[in-house]
Amino acid sequence: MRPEFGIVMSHAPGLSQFWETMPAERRAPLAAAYAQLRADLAEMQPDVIVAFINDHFRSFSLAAYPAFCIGLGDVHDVPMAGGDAILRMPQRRFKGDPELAHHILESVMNDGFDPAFSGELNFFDDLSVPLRHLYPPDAALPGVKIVPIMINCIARPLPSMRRCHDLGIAVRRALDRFPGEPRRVVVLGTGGISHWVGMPRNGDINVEFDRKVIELVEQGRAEEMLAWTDDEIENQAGNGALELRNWIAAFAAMGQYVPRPLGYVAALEAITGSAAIALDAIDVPGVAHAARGKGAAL
Amino acid sequence: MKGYRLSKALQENNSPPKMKQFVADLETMRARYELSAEEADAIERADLTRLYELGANPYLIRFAFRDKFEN
Repeated sequence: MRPEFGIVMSHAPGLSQFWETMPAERRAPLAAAYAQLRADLAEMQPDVIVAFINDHFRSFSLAAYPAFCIGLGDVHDVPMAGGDAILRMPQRRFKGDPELAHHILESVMNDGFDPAFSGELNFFDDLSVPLRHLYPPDAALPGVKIVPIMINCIARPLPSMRRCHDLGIAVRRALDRFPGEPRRVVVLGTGGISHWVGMPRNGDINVEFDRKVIELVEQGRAEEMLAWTDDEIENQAGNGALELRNWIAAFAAMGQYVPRPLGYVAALEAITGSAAIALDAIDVPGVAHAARGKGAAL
Repeated sequence: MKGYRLSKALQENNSPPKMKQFVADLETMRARYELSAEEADAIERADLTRLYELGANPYLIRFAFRDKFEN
């Protein structure tokens, strides 16, 4: 099976904490983007979301920090205990997909990756804020299952952008080889774009950098980001932009897709240049909704 | 590993209320986490830039001192 739809979108605590109190002109572009994504998901009715995300020192510590970690749990509490008060959103219990998660783990291991694995990850804004907007908590809990794949984006040295790209390819191969009952799969990559978290430039946003990233994605040139060093990314767009790894892995897991940028705003309340881009699959037989976007295919 | 003990102290006290308690009992905490005098001083003064220079992971600075950031 192949992913039928993809999403890359920013995460930040403030996109939940201050969502209701943000000035309307800043909320509107993101609100419209999230509404479009909800409509796309409602149309597709995915069975599972394979989510490339990163830990925020809630699951791991510098005592031991894995480059990659696959969540094998049968349930995922989103957000983690205590995260609900900080992020100002209710905790919900999503289902995991242990069968698919185990398969992905073993498949990528056969392809030369050795990820950590976890029966219980602690989710903060990384997964919780995107799910808050994709599946709002005031509606019934969706049946969609989550397979989280964590990439180290916060404790340098990080797995290289190239390595994250290759992990995405390995996950795509794993999906293709899945021997179980086929699922309708969405690939999600969260984080970025520019933000300086806890650094002396905390609060800055580099709109020019953010627009360059979106332009590269829109033009089918996302792989050009693989040549960027982490020092270059951090100097230009902050440590938070290193989370673009999650996007890179998602692009690779999608394979061929048509990018459909939906919205961007320099969300000052969330100290983050915040974007959302849909990735319409173009090589999935029989998927009617594919390729409705515009832009260049990879 | 630069800043390891400092980062550990911040991760295990990763909110402003916990950090307030930390500072209230600074000598005990300094001994527990084996912090240098300079590291303990940077925590006591909530010197965000100095903490960063001393190698504390900036995400952990953000969480522990969330109330000291303007945004």
